[in-house]
Amino acid sequence: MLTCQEVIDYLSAYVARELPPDEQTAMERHLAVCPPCVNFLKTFRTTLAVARSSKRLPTEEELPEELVRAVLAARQRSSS
Amino acid sequence: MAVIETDTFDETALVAQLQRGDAEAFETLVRQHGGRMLAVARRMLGDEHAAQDAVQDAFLAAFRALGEFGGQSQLSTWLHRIVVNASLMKLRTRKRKPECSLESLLPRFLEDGHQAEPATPWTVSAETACESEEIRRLVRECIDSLPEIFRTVLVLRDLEQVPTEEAARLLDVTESVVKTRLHRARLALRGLIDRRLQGASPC
Repeated sequence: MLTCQEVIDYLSAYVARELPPDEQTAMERHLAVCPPCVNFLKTFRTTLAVARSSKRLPTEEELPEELVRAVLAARQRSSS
Repeated sequence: MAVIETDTFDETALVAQLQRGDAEAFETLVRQHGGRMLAVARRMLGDEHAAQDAVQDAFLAAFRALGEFGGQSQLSTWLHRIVVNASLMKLRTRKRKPECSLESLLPRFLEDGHQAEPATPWTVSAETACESEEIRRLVRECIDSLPEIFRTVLVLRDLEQVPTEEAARLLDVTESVVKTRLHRARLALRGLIDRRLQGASPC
């Protein structure tokens, strides 16, 4: 039987389904009897989902006019 | 389908103008792509001033390399790669901020391998968490407070979706180092979010 520590060590590989079938089964066997590891797995999956979704923050793509001008001026200097 | 063809046509025309050194075309490029590039630099650097510098460096690098742009990828993909590189250059040269130690954020275990502080469920579901702007901001703050080498790999892989192989090349480490660091970064991020959701201080 895997320990909780081993289960948590393999979690990224497990959620990406990158483990060999026997290890995948060993993970599932542990998860079937260990509520704290199930809690850990759920919160780990939520972490991945919310990290991905944190990519979309409103106003993050706003381009300040000063930056546009600075870039155009730098190009001017660099080409002259 | 027609839309894609029009876009491709517009992009081909824009690239041709850029390669002839047309200043207006360059301004169009900056206005069309600058916002998205700035967002990438903001995610990678977590600092507005450094992010704007990185975008400026990226556009200058793009300007110099325009002659080599053969249209084998889309302009947006090409510029994404350039701004990721420019941000990594900034990261290498900047002074590090004080950061939480990674060890303090990782799960701890008893000698027999059980979790020392058994994980408890979060009251918020994944769907609700992803839809809440407040939680997305909280998560971004947690990402920004990760130790730099771990934050960088997490942003590259999980936010920018750079493949493992390319991340390894950019960071000059092996693919297995990328995977190990990413896993530790995710565990630490989970630990940070767990503390914030329970109202504890981050470090």
